Amino acid sequence: MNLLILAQQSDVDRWWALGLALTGLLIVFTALILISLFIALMPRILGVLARIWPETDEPQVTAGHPESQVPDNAAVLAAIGFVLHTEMQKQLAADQQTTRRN
Amino acid sequence: MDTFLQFFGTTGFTSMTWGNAIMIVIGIVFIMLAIMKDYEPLLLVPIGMGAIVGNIPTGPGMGLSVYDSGSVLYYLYLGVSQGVYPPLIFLGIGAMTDFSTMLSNPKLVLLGAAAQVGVFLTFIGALELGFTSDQAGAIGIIGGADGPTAIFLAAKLAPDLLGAIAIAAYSYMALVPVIQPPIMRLLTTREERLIRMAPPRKVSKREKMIFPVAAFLISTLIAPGAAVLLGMLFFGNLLKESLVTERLARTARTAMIDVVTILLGFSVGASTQAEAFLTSQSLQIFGLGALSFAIATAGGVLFAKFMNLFLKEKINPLVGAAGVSAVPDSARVVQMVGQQEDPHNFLLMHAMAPNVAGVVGSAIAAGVLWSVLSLN
Repeated sequence: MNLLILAQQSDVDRWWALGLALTGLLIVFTALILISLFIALMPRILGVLARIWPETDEPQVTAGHPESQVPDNAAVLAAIGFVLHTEMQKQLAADQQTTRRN
Repeated sequence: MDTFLQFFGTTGFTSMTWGNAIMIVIGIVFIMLAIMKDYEPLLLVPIGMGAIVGNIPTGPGMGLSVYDSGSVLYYLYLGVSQGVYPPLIFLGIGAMTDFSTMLSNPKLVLLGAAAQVGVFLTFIGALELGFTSDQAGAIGIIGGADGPTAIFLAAKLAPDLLGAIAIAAYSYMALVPVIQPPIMRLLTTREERLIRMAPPRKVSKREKMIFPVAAFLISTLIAPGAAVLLGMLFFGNLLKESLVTERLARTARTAMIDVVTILLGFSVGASTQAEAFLTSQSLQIFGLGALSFAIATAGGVLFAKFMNLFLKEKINPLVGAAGVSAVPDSARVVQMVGQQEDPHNFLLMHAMAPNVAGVVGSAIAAGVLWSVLSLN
């Protein structure tokens, strides 16, 4: 009798597990299908939205965001260094030409 | 002399077990795999070193392990056992993920869902092997190929199996280049592997900004159990795409994720003490994990073939294998296998779409399992 109950219990567990697995997979698919549909529709929605609120090419970080106004010191120094180096090279080349002519 | 003998009794040599020695060797193998084969070095080095540290036997009353309340390792391990580290890692992943490829080809999102079949079939398999439903759920998620998700769910549903599940998940993630290619070749013809896909379209800034909020709402209203993981993932992505919080995004994807990875990897490794880890259950978990990975890979590839029955512009079915969310390793494997057939076929960008969809899919699967199983 106990064995019969255990066997029935095991069958119930199996069906429950199968049901949970199928439901779980269905939920994952539903969520990702909805995300996929949203992504597919987004360009159209944004197309309508762009008539009211046109998208600019510049990044959204404009005045008002202190972070965007903080200069990147390393980049500035690198740019100054590059310009100085180029100018000095030009100067050096010009000096050498002058020396050769003399 | 007595003091010396007394001290010798407290050294690791006297209380070292075969199990500890085996785990130390496994730790060294992990480190060697990371250094020599470049298999997930950012994870395997901390985990390997953690396994070595965690298996040094200590004297009675010293209490240094992750399981000894009050020890330093115990506090580090709280981030794992309480499920704190995985969402923080998701924040970093979100801040470094570019969803453009997914936004440019939304149908590839479905491959990320198909690969989750591995999670649910392994759940059934684990139940058949005699694991409880909570344990089976935690083991099944290994097939999601997502370490943080596996740890998060194991911490919630089966804390006693956390070490084995975490090690299995990360080991198989490291072994993606070994496990996936044979399955991919077996399930596809040469003609299918040669399919070239159209280059992805350019995605606007506005699409990228709207996507994280919309995708979060859609996925978590359906599966609220995934709210923590997906909330952090999409929050990280919003930091990146909003263009006004670049400093926060940079911190999330560099310093923060590195710190959390170190703490998570090391404490997971340290939790693999021989007594807790070297059990028949762990072997079963490793077996089920491998099966789960294989089924997930096959699920993605076969679903891509199924989709091709209805599509005018065919998908290269190899891309389906990237539906398992081992980012970006499985996408790289797709590129590698594709280029073995045609060196001029570039599948990486296409494979990134199901790859990131797989991250979302596995988090949803974890949310579903957590919601349902925690009610039982």
